[in-house]
Amino acid sequence: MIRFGRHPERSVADLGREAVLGLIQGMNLDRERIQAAYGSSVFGGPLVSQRILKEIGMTGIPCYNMENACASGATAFHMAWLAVGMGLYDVVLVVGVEQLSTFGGGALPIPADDIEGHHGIVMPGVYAMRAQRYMKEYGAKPEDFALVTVKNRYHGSMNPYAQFQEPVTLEEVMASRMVAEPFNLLQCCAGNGDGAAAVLVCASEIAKELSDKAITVKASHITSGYFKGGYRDLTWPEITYRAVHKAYEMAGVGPEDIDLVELHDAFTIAEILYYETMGFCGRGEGYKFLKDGKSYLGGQVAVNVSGGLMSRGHPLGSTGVAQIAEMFWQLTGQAGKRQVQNARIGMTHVTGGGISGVDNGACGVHIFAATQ
Amino acid sequence: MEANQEMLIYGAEWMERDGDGVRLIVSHCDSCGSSWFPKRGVCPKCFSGNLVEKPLSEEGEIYSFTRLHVTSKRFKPPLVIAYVDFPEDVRVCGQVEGEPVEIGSKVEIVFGQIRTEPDGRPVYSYKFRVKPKEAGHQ
Repeated sequence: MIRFGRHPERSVADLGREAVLGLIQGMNLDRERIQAAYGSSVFGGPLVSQRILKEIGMTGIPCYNMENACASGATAFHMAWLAVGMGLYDVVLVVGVEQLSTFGGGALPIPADDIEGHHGIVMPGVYAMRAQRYMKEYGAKPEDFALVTVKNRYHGSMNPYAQFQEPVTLEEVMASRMVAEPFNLLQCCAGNGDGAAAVLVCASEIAKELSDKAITVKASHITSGYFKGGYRDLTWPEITYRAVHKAYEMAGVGPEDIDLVELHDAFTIAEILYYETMGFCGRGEGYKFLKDGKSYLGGQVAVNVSGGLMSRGHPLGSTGVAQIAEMFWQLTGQAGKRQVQNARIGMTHVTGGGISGVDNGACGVHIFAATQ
Repeated sequence: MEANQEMLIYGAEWMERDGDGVRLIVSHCDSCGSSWFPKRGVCPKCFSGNLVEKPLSEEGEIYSFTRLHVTSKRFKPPLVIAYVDFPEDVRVCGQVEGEPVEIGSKVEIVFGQIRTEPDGRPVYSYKFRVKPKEAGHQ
């Protein structure tokens, strides 16, 4: 993957190319082996994988471009996994790319036809309302949520690909400007950066031909949120609960088996809620789980050791693939200072977008296992 | 301002105005009993087309809220926005006026400006106003 950050002078295709070339050259792979490409981008424009591949002479292969808001990357990977699994291809490329640095700052646009957007809602507002409700029901304070950023920025300081590589203190988080009460700016992931990441999916029988380092896909599941016109419990992300438990079932594991997880920390409250929905702790206990250090590198389950969205920012289409790249490095022992010891089973999770009446529009969960 | 300038209203077809007050119109499904806002032609729950327009209750309760200090372009911060729940199991998102804004606050539905178009024209729609707490309650 590329170093996530602001690259407004470059093109979307160029960012994607850097990630793809890094993958191919790093593996010493013959580009002719790649039989199809799955691209992931939300605002990158039409034909994103074709635009990435043409200048490096990888043309004429089937290209599929996926959009599922923030879950685009997981969706592209899932489709690649399906195609390889059913024997359509042996080797496929998955590339996620997004360029938000050219957007001009401010909150990202909600779909133009969304009724709540017309009244002023923005994504930080949606999550802020989850946090308000959680504080009322469980007694948490804004400082408790801010510890997510402190943890993830600490982890991110060990990740050379993160946009933000300096740790932050609790005081710095709480002093950053208010965005949507109770969230200060640093309780929100940055939405103004660029990113690109690429991974290779291949049939297990031929993996050894291509590389001595590979991880196994044990579960891959994409789902969408239920629409409700009335009461919805904003402190229980139902889409994540369903997607994660389906993935556990597919992989034959439970939360106790997960050594590390890269989850969707778009806003601090999100990570807290996901500890609970993923089964690492009980309802209402998420903020204490964090405070007790259980989700740190070295803790009960290492959450977002890459630094998460808080450190990488959230260039939407690249996030899901970046998580999978991180999982690859972790499960093959290549994660350097942020290596999770004895990492055997890991999970990645992204949830996509906001549309009114729905928890999240899309969710993608993968579970991987080390092969050695 | 020209005498015949149209007032920009978002969602005009979803509400009945009565002075300053507003009644929101829901689709009530006579097959399964569920209500939906805004009104529509198919029931999302039972897929029936047996929908009848009815006014939503006049009073709702704040499920959650936030004060936005960063808004998208046509809105002016600080902006209080909330999810309001009604007895018909309908939840409506909207801006809130008045104080105090708390989880559980009762609100009524009013008509007012919600944003401004880039050319400066105001846009109106339904909004919520906190109801004064009744005497004898905390």
